[in-house]
Amino acid sequence: MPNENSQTIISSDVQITGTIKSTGPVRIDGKLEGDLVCAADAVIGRSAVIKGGLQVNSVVIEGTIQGNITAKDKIDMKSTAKVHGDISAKRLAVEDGVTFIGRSEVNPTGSASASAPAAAPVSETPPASPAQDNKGGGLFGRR
Amino acid sequence: MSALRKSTEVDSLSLVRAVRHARTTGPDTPPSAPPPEKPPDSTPPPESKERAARIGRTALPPKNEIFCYECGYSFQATGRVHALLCPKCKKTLDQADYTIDAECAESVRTTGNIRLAAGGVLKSGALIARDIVLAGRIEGGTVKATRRIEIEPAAVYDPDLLAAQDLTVAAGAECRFKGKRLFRHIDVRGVLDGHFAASGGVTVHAGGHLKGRLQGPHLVVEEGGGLTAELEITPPGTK
Ligand SMILES: [Zn+2]
Repeated sequence: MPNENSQTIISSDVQITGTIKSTGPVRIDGKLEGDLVCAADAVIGRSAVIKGGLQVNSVVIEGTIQGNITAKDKIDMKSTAKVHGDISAKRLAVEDGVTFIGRSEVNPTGSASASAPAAAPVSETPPASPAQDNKGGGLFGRR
Repeated sequence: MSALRKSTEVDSLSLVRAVRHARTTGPDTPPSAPPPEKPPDSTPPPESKERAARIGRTALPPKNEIFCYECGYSFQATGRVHALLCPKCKKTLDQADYTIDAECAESVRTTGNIRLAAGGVLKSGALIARDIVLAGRIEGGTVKATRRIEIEPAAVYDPDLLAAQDLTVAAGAECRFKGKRLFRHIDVRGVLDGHFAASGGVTVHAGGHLKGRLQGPHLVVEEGGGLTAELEITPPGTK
């Protein structure tokens, strides 16, 4: 077992092809072509480029990821993050500025697919054109 | 007629905001005053401090974006005026805020705001206002907010009857749209489901949940917000 405080760092001048498996925290600033499997928390630094999937406890993303991300706990996308892939986590935070193309499956309240019928639409009414006519009667408009 | 309640003319919130703004931000620079020609390393004029203190206590009325419900023209007006005239069609525009708290089958058009309260029912006619809060029931007619529509938990409506630039789903509200809908900003504090394209920002607040599909340049998800969706978030300048 690694020391509680020890963090594996892949610095920005390092390029790895293959899978990284770690039980302790990992920080990646370099390039990874392959998957990252990390039982602890990961940080994907601003200069990092990952082509592969992530399976982590939680992850802070500042760099670029092309692949799917699964976090047991939290995904934290900072404003510089670029993610092309699907994400799944218990908790999510996204800062303005991110690029994100993919599917998200994050439901902190846990009520899986609790898509209760929305605000019971008053059906019978025919779908009138969406409020385009400004020329309605305006009784109160000219008092 | 009793369904409709006209709110007080005084826009006190705007006044309070303006005073607070003046207090917190301090002196404003005079609007578009041409910079005086002076040598590069000249010291600021001695009277500037006194002048700044005086301006600091002045509450500038806010500028409002007005949408003419008669001709569709948009313009800016500063503060509240007694008679608001559209510069294009020259018609006088209503500026009052209204609350509808009983059955209503008439059109209400204003550059102010409308609240369809919990007991309010829109049977027919068109509601047109800057901001519209829906807490009541829409059984017919149309609802168009020239700026923002807010959907509260008790609201009952057909989403097809709603049109707005910005959409807010209040905490506890559940809102499902059919088909692709375009908005500028979307604020999600309740549950919002559908296919959306936003030209501005989309914010999912803690406790809110966005479902379906979303395309747009800006997305913010606060911790505690839910996101079960297919996303295409590309900030301007990226591709
Ligand atoms: Zn006009």
